[in-house]
Amino acid sequence: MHNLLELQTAFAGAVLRAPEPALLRTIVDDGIAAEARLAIYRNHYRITLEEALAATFPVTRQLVGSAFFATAAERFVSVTPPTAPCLFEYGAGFAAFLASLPELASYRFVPGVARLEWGFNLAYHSADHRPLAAADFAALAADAYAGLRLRLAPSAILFASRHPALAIWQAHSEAADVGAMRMDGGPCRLLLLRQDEALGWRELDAAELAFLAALRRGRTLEQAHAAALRCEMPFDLTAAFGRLLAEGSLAGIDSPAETGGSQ
Amino acid sequence: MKTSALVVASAVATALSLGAVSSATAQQAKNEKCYGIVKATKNDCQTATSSCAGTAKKDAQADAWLFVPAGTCEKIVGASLKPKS
Repeated sequence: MHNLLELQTAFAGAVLRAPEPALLRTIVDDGIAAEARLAIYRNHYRITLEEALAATFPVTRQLVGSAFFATAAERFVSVTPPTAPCLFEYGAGFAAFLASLPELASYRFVPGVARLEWGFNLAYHSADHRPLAAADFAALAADAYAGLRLRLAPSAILFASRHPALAIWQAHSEAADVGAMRMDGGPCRLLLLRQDEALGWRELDAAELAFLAALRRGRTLEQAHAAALRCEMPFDLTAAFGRLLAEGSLAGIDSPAETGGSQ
Repeated sequence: MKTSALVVASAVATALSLGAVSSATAQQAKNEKCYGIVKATKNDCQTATSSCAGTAKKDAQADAWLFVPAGTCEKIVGASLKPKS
């Protein structure tokens, strides 16, 4: 006989794989066999997660076709139980899973588009923040600026792909006519951002991406600026910083001004 | 203060003194549910919580919907933004 914890563990196991005989003996048949009753849960679990993936990755699904997507989703679901209770949180590893599939070896842009869709999903469901304004810097001395560690908004997602993921995504998800598109149209670097309820994005060059990635890693402004300059292309810190303020993608200042700037 | 720190301080000070500059983020197109035009078994469900996709029993079922770009639905004969009773 089971105690409650054993019963719950055995039931959870039966949702993922064939049930233990001991569990079957504790289920009342009542017209439908115990095995068939458990199969209802097993099916519902699988179908719900597969549909959550289809809802989160609609363009990826269009790209590979619904039949292949269903097969891939089924395989992913079978090896990836959810780790959080909300369905929108399911699918973090799906793009990497797609990248591992030999069937997609000659469609390298597909996992890139899946990563972009996951980025949109993360940005959309991220925590709210109060955007930093110029006034938040008023109390700081100018010689402290270089040492500041600026925190990017939770919804600010940095995205980079060797493939034109955004152009592919737009061609499949928007009414706008994007014109002729080349799958080898070059790399794509984006800052995704949720502003109130709207998802936004803007394109970045390699230097600005390096700058933002350094900020995301908790580097100081001076270190982030140096990271941008290492890209050996023009980088305008005044303009880049102005854009962050204007679009509201800064959420906080982590380094106190009193400690002074550079070291 | 090192030169690199001075460069950063001066660039940030300039940006702060310029005030609000225009930001140019593109916005995602909005989609909406479009009822009454779905081919049987081809309805969308577009939520991560329901399992009703692909269950419409007949063509143009009044309560079955497709997710389409905003503005498209009102151009389609027989389509409705609300489920038809």
